[in-house]
Amino acid sequence: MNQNDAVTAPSPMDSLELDIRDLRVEYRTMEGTVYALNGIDLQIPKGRTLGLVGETGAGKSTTGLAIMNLIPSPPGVIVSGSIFLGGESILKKSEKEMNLIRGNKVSMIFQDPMTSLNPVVPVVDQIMEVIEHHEKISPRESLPKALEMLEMVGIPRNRAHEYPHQFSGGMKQRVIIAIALACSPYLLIADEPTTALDVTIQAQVLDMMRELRKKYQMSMLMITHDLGIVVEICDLVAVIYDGRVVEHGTLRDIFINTRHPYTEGLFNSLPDMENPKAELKPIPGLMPDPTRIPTGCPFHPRCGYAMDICAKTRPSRYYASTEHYVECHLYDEKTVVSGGRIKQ
Amino acid sequence: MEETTLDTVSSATAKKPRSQAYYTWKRLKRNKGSMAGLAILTIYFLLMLGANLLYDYKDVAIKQNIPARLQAPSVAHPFGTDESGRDVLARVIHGSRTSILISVAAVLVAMVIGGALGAIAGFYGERLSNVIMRFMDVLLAIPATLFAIVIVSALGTSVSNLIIACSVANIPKFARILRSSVMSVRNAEYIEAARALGARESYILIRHVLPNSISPLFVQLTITVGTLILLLSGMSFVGLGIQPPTPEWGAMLASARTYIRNYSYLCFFPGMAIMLCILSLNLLGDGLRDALDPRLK
Amino acid sequence: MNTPLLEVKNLKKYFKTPNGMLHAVDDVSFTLERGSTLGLVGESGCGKSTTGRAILCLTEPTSGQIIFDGQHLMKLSPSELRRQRQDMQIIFQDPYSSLDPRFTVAQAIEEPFRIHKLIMDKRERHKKVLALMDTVGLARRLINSYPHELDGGRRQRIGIARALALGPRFIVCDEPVSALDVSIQAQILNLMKQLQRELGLTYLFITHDLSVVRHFSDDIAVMYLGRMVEKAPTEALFAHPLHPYTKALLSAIPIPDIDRRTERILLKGELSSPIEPAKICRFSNRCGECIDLCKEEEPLMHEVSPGHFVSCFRASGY
Repeated sequence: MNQNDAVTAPSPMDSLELDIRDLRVEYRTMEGTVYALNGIDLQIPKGRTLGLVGETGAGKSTTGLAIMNLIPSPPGVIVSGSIFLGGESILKKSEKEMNLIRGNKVSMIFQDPMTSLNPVVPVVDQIMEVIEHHEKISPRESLPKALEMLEMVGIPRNRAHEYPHQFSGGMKQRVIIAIALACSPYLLIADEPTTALDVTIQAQVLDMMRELRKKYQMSMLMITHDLGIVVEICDLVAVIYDGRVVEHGTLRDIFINTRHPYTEGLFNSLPDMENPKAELKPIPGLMPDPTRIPTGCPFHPRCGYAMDICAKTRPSRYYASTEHYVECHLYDEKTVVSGGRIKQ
Repeated sequence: MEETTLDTVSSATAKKPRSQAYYTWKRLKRNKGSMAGLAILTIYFLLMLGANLLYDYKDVAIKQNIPARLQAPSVAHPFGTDESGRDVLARVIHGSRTSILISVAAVLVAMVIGGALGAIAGFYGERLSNVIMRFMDVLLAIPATLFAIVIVSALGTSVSNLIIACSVANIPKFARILRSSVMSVRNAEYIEAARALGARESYILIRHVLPNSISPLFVQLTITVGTLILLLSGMSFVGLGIQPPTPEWGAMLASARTYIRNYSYLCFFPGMAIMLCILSLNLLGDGLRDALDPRLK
Repeated sequence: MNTPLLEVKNLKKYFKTPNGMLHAVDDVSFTLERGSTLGLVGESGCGKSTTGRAILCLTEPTSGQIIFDGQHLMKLSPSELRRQRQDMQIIFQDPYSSLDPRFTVAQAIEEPFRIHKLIMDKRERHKKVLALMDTVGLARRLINSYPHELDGGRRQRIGIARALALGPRFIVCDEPVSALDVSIQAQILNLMKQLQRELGLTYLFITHDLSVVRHFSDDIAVMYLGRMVEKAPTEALFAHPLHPYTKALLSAIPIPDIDRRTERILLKGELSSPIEPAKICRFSNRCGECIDLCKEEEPLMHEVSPGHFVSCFRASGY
């Protein structure tokens, strides 16, 4: 791990909105310890959007919760690592301090718009509540602000006093986005924000998020499993597997100059747009049991290129450029740039 | 080809086939409260079985011995003696037979009848459900104690009449619980899946709906046994329950009431017996509810 | 053998609600050839799942005809229908809720035989269960596991094994992969394709995922608010989408390719209510190409090019 740390951040600290270093999170339950995050590193430069891509159990949502300092404890334990938000370390903050940071500096939207809203409170009141809490202002002052927020996400004023059940799924997700943005946070964490929505509604919501991001100069962490959405909205991509970033780069790095066999497998699992009838090439096997992580590279049991060394040691990180890196034994400092793989 | 893409990672052997009961017991064992409750109930049960070995029913529990009346607890009489000189411990132990047997029998009757009505009401359409449930509402509107008193005074006091009296008032409770539970399971996707396979409605009700909706009934069962022990005591108290000199917890409490000022142990021990029994039943019931959920490991 | 396996004519399914009749499926007709796959596409609430269930008579259709292999399904008695189910099966969307949590893998897979009293010998049945597990790629060691101990992909394999057990010819697949991870999705799709090749199955593939349906289906039918708005061979539909809704739907799919950014048609507004819809084009309130006629009359499905049906006044052949 020290070796990885030696190759430090590609950009200076002060321009990073989010900086996670070597974060390890475990859930210690009666049935055993779940190793959710195993030394994850994530950096989001100011004003940029990072897509966090991975499958169920890879640690995507845990990462989002960790940034909000909302990991349920017990059973969750932050074993090591650091999280800096706008240069400020948050893991040592008290609950009171965190309450001011959440909403003001960082907000999170969750996957399911149906359960994130209070069913017995009109939507505009739910936004006012957030504004009043953070800006310490009266309802009279917060109401126009709340209405403005709703209008911005495309909900007309005359519907502001309705209850959540009177809205469709897409409208509810808009309300949730309005709540998240009410105090203009620097960083927005979106955990699969459109998974529960239909494609045409998803297109509307993504479109709106793009505009709001520009307006507020926000940084964003987009947690998703859909590579199509990544193309739509992200600048940078981090592919995570088993609680660790296995490949990181710009859209072009990941989509065109793919290095890691897992990333390659994800693309092969999708129908080919040029040749839609071609047989899919799925990744064999299943995600590893998070209580019993394979030794060496965690992907080696499912990897078509696995070598002897893959089962023994964790691969180090190799940089193809300042932003594009991969953790895989198929490369060394030289071949990672050209994309040539080490022969077995 | 597909066979090789899956499960090549680990090659453990198949688990042994285990029944649902095995897993339920495994989960129940983890709940300390339930295990304590179960232990106490086991002791009660053993005492019930061995009551005659410990104390002779006729000679100790029934026969009056006026010279030895109202003695404080001692080595010879750990719980003391009552106003007729009978050993209180012996009467508490023999009393458990009547109290527990009647209430358990009454609950089982109520559960079977109420459960059947509730399952039918919940599973088959709205019209039948309406008929059954309105009838249940009528039953529910009559206070249980009053209802039991009416039945016993009409039919006369006997063990079987007491069982009927105690069970009828509890039928609606079981029917309501199972009905709502069945109605939530009825719309589950695995019910539709069974229907898609061509299963008959009766098969679906018995194989899928009941096993998945019955667990709240067990909880209600343990709670109701407790309330019935109390109801029985109340019946004895007003003189419609078990007739003296047959030992019964409630009757013992009722007769001890007169002596509560100077001989409080006469109330204390039967009271404790009732309380411990109900407490352990509730503990067990709580644990059972969780243990019966197959999704918990 | 030249007759289609399934013929659906004017299928309607209305639900009674306090505000009036909800037209979940409104006058849907199509035919399905043996060994082919029809993709049924649409957004939530368009009636695609209800169509699938109505075809299998899992929910009783309000009116219409369903002719399966020459048999009028709606005229069968309950017991005849139960017997008929051996021939037509369904794979459910959510492998978490479509399996009884109290049944082990073995019990779940042998259930079809028990229901139809087919293989009464215990050892024969066990053998058959193992054979089915091999077919769908479930490791034999999982035979005594409970569903909650397994991941989504494996549970979906159990669902497929149950559907296959009685040797059906027709399977309704109701969003069979949308609850699964991408890499597992591909495993299941490949398995279903392989089974279709080997067993000559006919699929009705219901989904909201257009890239999956393009990969999987021979023909695609698009539904909107209970109506079928367009039906065409897969490639024809993707090359020449004619209905404005289909166009918007296709342009809304996020494509995982950075060099193929399509121009997006953003739809205004949301679905209108399916309760007592007016007799006009149901898409007219969101349509960018709407003309006066669309708000006066309801368009009917008509063939504009060979095999390409559309219900839009403005669509023309190509």
